[in-house]
Amino acid sequence: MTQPVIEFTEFSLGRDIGTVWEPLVTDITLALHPGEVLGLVGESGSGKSLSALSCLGLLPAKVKQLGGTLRVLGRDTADFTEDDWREVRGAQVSMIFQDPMTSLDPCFTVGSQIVETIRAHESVSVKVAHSSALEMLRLVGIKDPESRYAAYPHELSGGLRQRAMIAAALVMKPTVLVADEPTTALDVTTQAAIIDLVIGLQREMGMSVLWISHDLAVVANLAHRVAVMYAGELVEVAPTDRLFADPQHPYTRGLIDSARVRAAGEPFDFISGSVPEPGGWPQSCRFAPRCSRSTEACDDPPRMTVGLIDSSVRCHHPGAEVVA
Amino acid sequence: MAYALKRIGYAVLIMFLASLVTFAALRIAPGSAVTAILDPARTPPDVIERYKEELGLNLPIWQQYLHYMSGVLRGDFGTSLFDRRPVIDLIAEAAMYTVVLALAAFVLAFGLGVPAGVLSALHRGSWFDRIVRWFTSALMSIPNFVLALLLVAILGVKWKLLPVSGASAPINLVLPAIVLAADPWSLTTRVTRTAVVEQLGADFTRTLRARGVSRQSIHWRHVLRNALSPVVSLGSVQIRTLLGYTLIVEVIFRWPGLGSQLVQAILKRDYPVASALALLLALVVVIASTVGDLLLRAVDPRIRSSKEVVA
Amino acid sequence: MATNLASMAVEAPASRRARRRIGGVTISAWVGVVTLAVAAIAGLIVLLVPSLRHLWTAQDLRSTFLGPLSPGHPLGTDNLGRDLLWRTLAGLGVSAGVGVGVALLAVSLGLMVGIIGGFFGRAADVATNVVIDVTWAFPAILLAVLFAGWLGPGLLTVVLALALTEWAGFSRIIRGEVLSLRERDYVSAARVLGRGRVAISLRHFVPNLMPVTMVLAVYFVAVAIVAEAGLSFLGLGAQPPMPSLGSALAQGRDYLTRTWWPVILAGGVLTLTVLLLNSVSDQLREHFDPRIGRRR
Repeated sequence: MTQPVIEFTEFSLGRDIGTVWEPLVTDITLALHPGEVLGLVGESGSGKSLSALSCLGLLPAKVKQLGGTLRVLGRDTADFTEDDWREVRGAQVSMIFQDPMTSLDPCFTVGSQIVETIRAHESVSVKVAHSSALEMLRLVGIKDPESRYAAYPHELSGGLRQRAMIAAALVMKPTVLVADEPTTALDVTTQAAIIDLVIGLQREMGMSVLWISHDLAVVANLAHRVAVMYAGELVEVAPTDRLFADPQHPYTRGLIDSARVRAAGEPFDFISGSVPEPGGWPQSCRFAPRCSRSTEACDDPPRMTVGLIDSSVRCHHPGAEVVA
Repeated sequence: MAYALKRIGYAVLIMFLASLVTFAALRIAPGSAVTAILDPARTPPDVIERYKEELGLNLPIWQQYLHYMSGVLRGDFGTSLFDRRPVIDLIAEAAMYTVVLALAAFVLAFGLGVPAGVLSALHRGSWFDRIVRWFTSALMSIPNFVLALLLVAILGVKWKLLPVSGASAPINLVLPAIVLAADPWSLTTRVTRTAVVEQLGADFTRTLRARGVSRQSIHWRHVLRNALSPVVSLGSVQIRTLLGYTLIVEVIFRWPGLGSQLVQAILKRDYPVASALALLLALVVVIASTVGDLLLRAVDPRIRSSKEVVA
Repeated sequence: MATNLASMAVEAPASRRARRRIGGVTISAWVGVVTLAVAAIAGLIVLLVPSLRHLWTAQDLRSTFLGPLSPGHPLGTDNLGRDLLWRTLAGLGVSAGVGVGVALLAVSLGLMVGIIGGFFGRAADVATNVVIDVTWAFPAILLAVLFAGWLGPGLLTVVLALALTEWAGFSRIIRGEVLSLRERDYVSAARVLGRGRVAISLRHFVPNLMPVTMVLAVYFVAVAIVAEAGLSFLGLGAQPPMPSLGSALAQGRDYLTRTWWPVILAGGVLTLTVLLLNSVSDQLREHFDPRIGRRR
């Protein structure tokens, strides 16, 4: 088994709120393998974005690693300096974000920002960087790259901007791409186009992709494996087909159910209650208050148990039928 | 380019209208040019008539305006009612002083304000930042003539460190320039700080970091560039307020500039001088705002394009 | 002069949670508004009630230049032996009166022109823009001084001159707001129903513009107070025996070598007033912030 490109081992993050550390992500054990597309799904507040940001050392100011290890391309990031991270970012691990409008500097042309990325990592002449940038723009499906090169972000449509951002992120041919909800801000047809683009590039370049989303439907079509997060912890990890065919965790089941197209008259099961905020997590299984399967056993937080090959779930009653 | 021409054309229109206003001020003002020189009670009416003819006051008003404007464009603003010298001479003498003072204050305000704001933003929360914010807040609340009096009282009268009156030596410039620069400096510092802080927190800085761009580059190339637009806007508005302040400061410190001259002219009812000065000040404001507009478009690409989405 | 528009537009609001509030507005904001109201009333009294005038005009040439805490004169006396406590209060009243007057005029004019420019068609917009830009070309003090020349010095001149300069900047902001307000659905709905533009303006725009107007009105009061003091200082504003903080400063300056006290008193009162008004303005802005919706 080749070494994973990204490896979380009992990884925890917390925020400094003065007297204590408020846990934000607890005990993540997850690996991204070379050439694989891993979908990371969860609602806002589940900790998925923070987990993603930690792969590039871009955690916000007061958030720090509390425990466990994170290995990026085999190296333990615990003692990375800012310079170490700068080497990694953009060249080995790259990231694309949700809102391309605010993610690009409005005062500089799109092309110059790609060139800047190149020259931050390699000392090449502007001319060479310029042609690499044009090549990249062509690769992301932008017709007429010369004129788009000189365009400012606000002059392009949402889809084009996102393509430009992808170009800047991939120009150094990184090994890993972290995609934080890159299609959420786009309309449906553009979404499909961008997803096709990313998957196509992934196959061509042999990248590993960590695709973050709150939308199961998007992830269903592009990921090899899916990991589900709830209230700061992983609750289920499984290959995509198996996850959708036979979800083990009640939360996963609920998510899939609520996204399903229904026949007329069919009752709509929704998960009652709402996601607890960090700091308000119960001592029991974090999903128990909303779970239809919960029993006294659930007062004890469950651990991740490995089930069938490649699948694991954190539940005392995995796979059980919903109690009527 | 087309926009630049349109904008300049508009500025010319405004100046034309402003000149109408100053011309009207000249004619409508109580106490006409004639009565300032000849006492109506003791002069025979035909002498008054002849005088009026000479001064062209019997012509229809639009002709008078044309006469006025052709003079203005040649640099001839008429003659001072008070000391019979060509207005343009009086203005030229005073203008130099005002320009020196205003320039000194502008340089102080922006030259010290922008760096202070940037440093404050980059080190926000530190003691430096806190002192700067407190100080600018206090300074902005003190009306500048109160500040002037304070400084005069302490530095000029009590400790006799700096001269408080006249313009005999370069050192006389210090006190008036400081007083004049105080308010603009405070404002510039605060606006710059806010602009930089806002840009530091902008999403694109995170994306730039995610691509491995260095912190230096992000700060000095990207953040600063984006923070420029509010600062440039501020600059052009500041010119107008600065001109207003210059008036008072010149009077307080008896600095022989246009401001002192204007107040004198008003008090002495010397309308040709007063209206010429008004026109001149209006010209400066219009130029500043036009230049400011054009500069803003150069600095911020978002304002430039009226053409939007290219799908 | 001492406060400025750009800083308001760009400053980020400070934390909202720390201070106690009544009716959604902090206590110090209430204090500021109440003080202003009291001072404005005092101003009216000063200007209209002759019988009280002796309080601040009575001269006593045997006790001139008394310092603070002197017997019978808690804040001392000026060069003519006039009691400074009453003179300062009266001056403050005049300032407030002028401030409120200017603010009301400037705001009314600005609202009207701004709405007309933003809503009543392209021709109106161009016309109002030109008027605004021409007004804008003349710095405030310049106009004030010019007016003083035409109409003679005096408080009325000051009020007119200041109102006629301040309205332009305000009008621009209003126009900007109206441009976005007019795109709202309820406006289209009203127009389809045949409502006239004036009715729509009064019914929909004016209430929505109140937050911006209130914040800027307070700011204008501060600006007007400082400007009036400045003009009176130059001799173009309040004429004796009308009391004014500005003329008090001018007098104090003439006798600076003899005593600092009058300058400190008048200057300090002026500064504190401006500080208070700025703080009220800031807090009003914070209070309304989410509703104004800052656009960038």
